[in-house]
Amino acid sequence: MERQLNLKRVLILLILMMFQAVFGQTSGGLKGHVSDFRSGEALPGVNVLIKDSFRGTTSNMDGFFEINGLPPDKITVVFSMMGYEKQSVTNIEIVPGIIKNLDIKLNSDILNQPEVIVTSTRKAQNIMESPVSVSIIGRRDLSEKGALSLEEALPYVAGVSTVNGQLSIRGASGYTMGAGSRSLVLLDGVPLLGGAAGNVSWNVVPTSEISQIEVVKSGGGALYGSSAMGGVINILTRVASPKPEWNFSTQLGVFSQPAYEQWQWRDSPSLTRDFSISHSRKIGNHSAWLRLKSYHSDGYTEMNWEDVVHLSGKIKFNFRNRHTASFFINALNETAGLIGTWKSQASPFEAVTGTEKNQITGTKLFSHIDYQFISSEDSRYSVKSGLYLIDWENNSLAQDFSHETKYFLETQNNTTLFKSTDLISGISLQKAIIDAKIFGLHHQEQVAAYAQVQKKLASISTLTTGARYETYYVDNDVQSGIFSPSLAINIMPAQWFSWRASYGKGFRVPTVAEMFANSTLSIFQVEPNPNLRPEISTMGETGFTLKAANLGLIDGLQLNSAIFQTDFIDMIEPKPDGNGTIHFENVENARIRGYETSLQASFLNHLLELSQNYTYLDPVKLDENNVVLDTLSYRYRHSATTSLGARFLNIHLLSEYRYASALESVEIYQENIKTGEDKQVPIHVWNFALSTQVKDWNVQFRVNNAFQYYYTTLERNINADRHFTLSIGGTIR
Amino acid sequence: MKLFVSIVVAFFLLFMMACEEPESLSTVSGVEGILKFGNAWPENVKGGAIIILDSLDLFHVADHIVTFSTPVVSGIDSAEYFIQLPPGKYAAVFVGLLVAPSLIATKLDSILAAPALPVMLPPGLPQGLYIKENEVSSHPDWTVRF
Repeated sequence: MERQLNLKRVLILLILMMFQAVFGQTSGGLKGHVSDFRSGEALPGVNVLIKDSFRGTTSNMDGFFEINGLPPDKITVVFSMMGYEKQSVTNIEIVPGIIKNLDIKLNSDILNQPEVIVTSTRKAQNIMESPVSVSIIGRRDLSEKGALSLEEALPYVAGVSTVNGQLSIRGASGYTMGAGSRSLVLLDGVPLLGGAAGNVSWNVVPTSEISQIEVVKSGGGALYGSSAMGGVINILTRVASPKPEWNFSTQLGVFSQPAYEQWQWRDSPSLTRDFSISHSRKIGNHSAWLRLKSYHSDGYTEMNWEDVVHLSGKIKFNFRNRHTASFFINALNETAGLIGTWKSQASPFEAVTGTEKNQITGTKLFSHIDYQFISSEDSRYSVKSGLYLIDWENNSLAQDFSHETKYFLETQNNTTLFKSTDLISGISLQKAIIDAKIFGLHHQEQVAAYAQVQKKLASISTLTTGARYETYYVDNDVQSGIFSPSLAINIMPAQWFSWRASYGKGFRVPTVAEMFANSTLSIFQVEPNPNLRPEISTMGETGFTLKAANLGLIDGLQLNSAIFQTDFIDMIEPKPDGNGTIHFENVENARIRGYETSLQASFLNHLLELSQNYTYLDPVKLDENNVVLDTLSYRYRHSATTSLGARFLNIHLLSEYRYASALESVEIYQENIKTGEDKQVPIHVWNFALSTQVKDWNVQFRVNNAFQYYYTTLERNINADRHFTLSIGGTIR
Repeated sequence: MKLFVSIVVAFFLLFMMACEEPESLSTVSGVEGILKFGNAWPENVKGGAIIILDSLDLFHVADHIVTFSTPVVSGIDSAEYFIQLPPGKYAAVFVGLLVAPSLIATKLDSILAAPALPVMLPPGLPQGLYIKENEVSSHPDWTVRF
């Protein structure tokens, strides 16, 4: 009996203890996960705060958070992080003994966060305070375009076009047979233009490892020197992720058969395939990533095939708080068909008979070291050095080859004086050694010094002035010294509006290709002209940026507009003489006036995103008295793009449209009015993409040139046919 | 909101003003074949081309030139050619060029304006061509003897 009583007491005690455990708790808690709305990536370091209290925490490296010991109440929790829209969750009922679970997805606040750029003034700066027009291509833009090469993405930036791969910002370059670019391309601040022709090899750029591309549209001659007269594109590569991760991506594609039976040129479809794998991790205080990529394309025309193996990597060293350095290496091996012109417009996808086996094999190595030292709160130094090796040969009848080595060294000091004045100064050295069949053996050196002062005149305005002096040598002969000053002002009376105006001089020294080319192109003989002088430009622009947020259904919008004019003196162009022989000559003065505007907007809590660009150019050749002679060749008078994206749950739909008016002037094959041969047509291209993101994996189906619109940007070279691609990418942490 | 709507409308108006009717390149009609050179090129002949005439008025040839094939340089044994032509009847004549072939591409206007064309006619008769809509006629091999 006593034993039964004891058992009853124990049971009552246990029940009381359970009761106490369940009902006796006086506090509850919250836990959950925070991730990026678009990518689904976990967000570390998000502030999680309970409104009207001091309670809170931050999310850990995997995006998880937990707050315990909360008294029973109805609370509001606020999630905030720089670069993301603040999000509040209201009426959360804290129940004692219960841990509530929250899954939060934050929208990136693209329109309201300060977009930081580093190129337009050689220092980190809010894009709203930039003294010249700048556009940014972000990592997400590249990913949504499924772009394997920057050449595909750049024409969707206001003011930027390409003709057969040759870059032109606001019409500066047109097409110069690949010899000499009037826009400078930098990779992490180091010039990426080849030593001989001064052109860009887009396949050297590791597209998937880019963090941001900055397109500075109004000449950067005073800061960056030769070739920057028509703007600067700075491609910035990413740093390694803090946690070890593997990234995989593959893209399979197929080009459609041409829409007309007369044009069909192969029995099986033309395929493309791309595979890349990369690893990224921290190593002590340092971090590194390494990527291997393989790409093959059968080509959309007979000689457009390509095989590329590409290795790239970056190590960032953090020695101590004040010292950082990075080492970047990029090695590429390629074999590709050698493209000339089409066989005819009756067979535009076929190569001229006898050239079907011509191919080019090449190796490119690009590496740079960047060291930065913060000497005091107001002063920092940087040293950049670069090496660019290009070796290629072609097996055509010409048996051409080229070996180019280009060295680059630059030191820069950024000092802040009196809290409101930034002084930037530096010296830069470049040396190129070229040994090529059609140019011979030559070397070219450039030595330059530059300085820039940026002063806040009042809280709303910034005055920037600078100059660069550059001397260049060809085969040890001093060719010329060029002084390029600039002056610019930015007025930002409110966070949502800024106005800018700038004026400056720029220049471009002739490339070795322009001075020494000696070859035969089809029926054209190209002969050297070692007496070429640098071409000079003066440019001015004024424009504004307007940002607005939370306008009813509109989450935010950004409007950018600018008018500009560039005058060229002694422009270098390939010109046939009275015997039909082509020389590069300082033959023309020219003027390009234009207007450019772009609009980005987001609606309905980022359900819809709209981007529109329009550029108008009036590019003319002038005589010595500034009388208009003709239209400059290979420039589009009107160009426009529009893209509309819709996002629902994890599905993203994107449509893009690109328009450019027909080229009014070309250099070689003029339109025959009687037969319609070599007719230039406008560009109307539509692209569509459907993508989805599931945790760390994404899938994208994309079709470029969906309606099979056929056009040329260079005479007798048809542009790509419809291209379907399926991309799958993922991250393993 | 009004500002935004105005901006979007302005953009679309600009598009409508700027955009022309889609005018994609498409199939063409013309003639193709192979030119063969049966003997050595004369020294004074720098190249050659097929000239297409819409009338065989040999006293005013320059007035009747419709187009010409991409010129070839002297010394070659054979060359493929394609000449884009709208439907119709034409005469084709092979001419030896007494100037650099590149001049035909770059200075055609001044060449046509000259009192005498810088060409020589090898022996042989002009060839008649009949071009149909969207068809490429294959011309039998054309052998030129200087």
